[in-house]
Amino acid sequence: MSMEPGDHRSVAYSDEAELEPVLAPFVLDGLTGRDKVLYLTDVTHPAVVTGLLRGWGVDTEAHAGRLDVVRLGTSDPDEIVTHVAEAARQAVGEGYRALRFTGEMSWAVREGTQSLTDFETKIQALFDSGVAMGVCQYDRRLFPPAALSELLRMHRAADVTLEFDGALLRIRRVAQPPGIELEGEIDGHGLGELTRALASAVRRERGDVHVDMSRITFIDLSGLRALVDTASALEAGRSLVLSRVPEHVAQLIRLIGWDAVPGLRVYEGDAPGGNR
Amino acid sequence: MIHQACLYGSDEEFLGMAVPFVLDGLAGGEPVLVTTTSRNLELLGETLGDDAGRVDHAETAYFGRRPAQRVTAFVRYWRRNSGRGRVRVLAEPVWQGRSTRDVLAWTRMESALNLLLAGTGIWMICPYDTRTAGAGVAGNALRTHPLVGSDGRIGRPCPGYAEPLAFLGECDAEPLPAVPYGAAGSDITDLSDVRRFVGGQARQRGLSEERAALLAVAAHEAARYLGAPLTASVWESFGALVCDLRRAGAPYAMDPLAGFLPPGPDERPGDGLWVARQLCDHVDMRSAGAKCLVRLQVAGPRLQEGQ
Repeated sequence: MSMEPGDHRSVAYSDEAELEPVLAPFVLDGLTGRDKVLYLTDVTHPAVVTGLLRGWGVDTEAHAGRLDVVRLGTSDPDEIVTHVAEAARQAVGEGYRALRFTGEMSWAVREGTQSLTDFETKIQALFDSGVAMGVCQYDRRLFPPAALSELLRMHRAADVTLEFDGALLRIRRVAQPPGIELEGEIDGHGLGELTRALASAVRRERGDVHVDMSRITFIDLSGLRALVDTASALEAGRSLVLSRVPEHVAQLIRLIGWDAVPGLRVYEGDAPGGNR
Repeated sequence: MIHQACLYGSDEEFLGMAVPFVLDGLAGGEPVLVTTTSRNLELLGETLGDDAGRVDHAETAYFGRRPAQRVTAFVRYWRRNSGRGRVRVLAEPVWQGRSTRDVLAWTRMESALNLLLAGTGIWMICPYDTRTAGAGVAGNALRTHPLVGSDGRIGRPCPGYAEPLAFLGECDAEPLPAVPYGAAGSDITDLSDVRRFVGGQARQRGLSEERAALLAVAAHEAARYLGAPLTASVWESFGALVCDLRRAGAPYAMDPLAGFLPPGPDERPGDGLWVARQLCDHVDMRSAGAKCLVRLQVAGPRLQEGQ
C-alpha cells in the first residue's frame, strides 16, 4: 500500500522477516520518490538495520544523507517527537516533499501505555501538518496482546478489519459472508479475545455468523467450547457457521459430539451459499 | 447403577444368565443393550428368536476400543435412553489375547464404572468366560463388581468387592517404565511450547500430519490439566510413540477418574483429559510421591489402517 504525507500506519511483527513487506516498499518508495527517510531504532544497533535495508534492496550508501538510521537512546516520547519534527522540517527545508519516519516502539514497554498514547497523539499531529508520514513498529514478543490490539486500533490507515492481533492469534472482521476470520492458534491466551469477537459479531450481524477457520493451526477444548457456547446461545433461526475447518479440528468436534449442537454448523470446505 | 459380574463356563451358563436378563428387560419396556463377542451375540440371537429384534447390540471389540471410549459409549447410550429410568446393559469386554497392560486398564475401568456411572439408572451385568478369560481376570471380576449372580436377576453381594478408589490406587501403584536414555526432552513454560515440541517430534518421527496434530492436541490438553511448567519427553517403542509430561511444580493428588466422562454443557477440569484419552491408546497418570505425571501413548508411524 503506497503512503502519502499524513498517513500513520503500524506493523506488528514477531521476527524481522515480517517487517519487510511493510517497510521495504515504505523506504524504497520514498527514496525513488521525493521524500527523506528516518529510521529510529531503540534496541537494535543501527548497523543491523542498515544490513537489513541492504537485504531488502535499499542502496544505503548511495542514499547516505537522505536515509538516516539513528538510535536515539531516549524513551521520552516528547524528545522523540521533537526529533522527528525537526528532521521533517529539515527535509522540507532541503526541498523534499516530506519525511518518511519509521521507528521501533519498544521504548514504550519501559515507559508505559500512557506515554505511548501521548506519543501516538503528538506524532499524529505532526503527520497531520503534512510534512511527514510514518510506520510504528510493534514487536509482538514485547507488547501484551491486549495492549497491542488497542494500539493497532489507534492507527488510522492500518488494517481496519483487524480486531485482534496477538502473538498467537489474529482475528479479522469479514464483510461477506458476515462474521470473522481466525488465524493462528487458540488456547487460553486468545480465549478472551475470541469470546469478545464472537459476541460482537453476534451483536453486529442479524442472521448467521460465519467463522472462517482455514488459517487455524491449533484450537484447544476451551476454544472449541467458546464456539459451541456462542452457537447454543443464539436465538432460533440463527447459526454459527464454521467453514473451512481443518480436518483434525473437525474430527475433534465430531469426537466430542459438538457437531450436533443446535445452532452450530461445521463445514470442512466452504459453507453452502457462503460466497467464498 | 447396579453392577454385577457373572462367571460362566459354558454356552448354557451364558444363556442361563443372558436370556432372563434380556427378556425381563423387554417385558418391562426397558431398553436393552448387549455388547459381547460375536459368538455370544449369535447364540443369544438364535435363542431369543423374534425378541432379538428389540435388542440393541454391538460386537464388543467395536463398542469402545479403549476403556475411556467404552465408558463414553455407555454414558451416551444412557443419555439417549434415560427417559425410561432404567436401562439394561450386558457388557462383556474382550479379555483373551490382551497384553498385561491392557488387561490392567480394562480391569481398572470395571472398578471405575462403579463411580463413573453411579448416578445413572444402568443395570449392568458383565459376563466373564472362565474358559478363556484366565483365572486372574475372573478373580478380579469379584473385586470390581459389588454383586455377583448367575441367573440374570439381581445378584448377591460379592464378598471380595474392593472399594473402587482403593482398587484404582492399587492399579496406579504399578510403576511405569523409566523414560529411556536418548528420549527427546524439552522444558515447557508455556502450553504453546508443549504442542510445538510434541507435534514437531511426532512429525519428525514420521507420523502423518493429521495424527501429529491430534497428538499435539492430546499433549496440550494433558499439560493443561497438569499445569505448567513441566518437562516433556518423547520416545518410540515398538509400535508406539510415547509422550511423558511431568509437572515441575509441587505434586497434587490427581483425580483417578478424570477424563473418563465426555464433556457436558458445563466445563469440568477433566474435559481436556477426556480428549487425550479418546485420541491416545494409553493414558497413564501418576501422582504418588514427589511426582505428578501423565504419559500418553499413540500408535507409531508404521501403523497400518487396514483399509
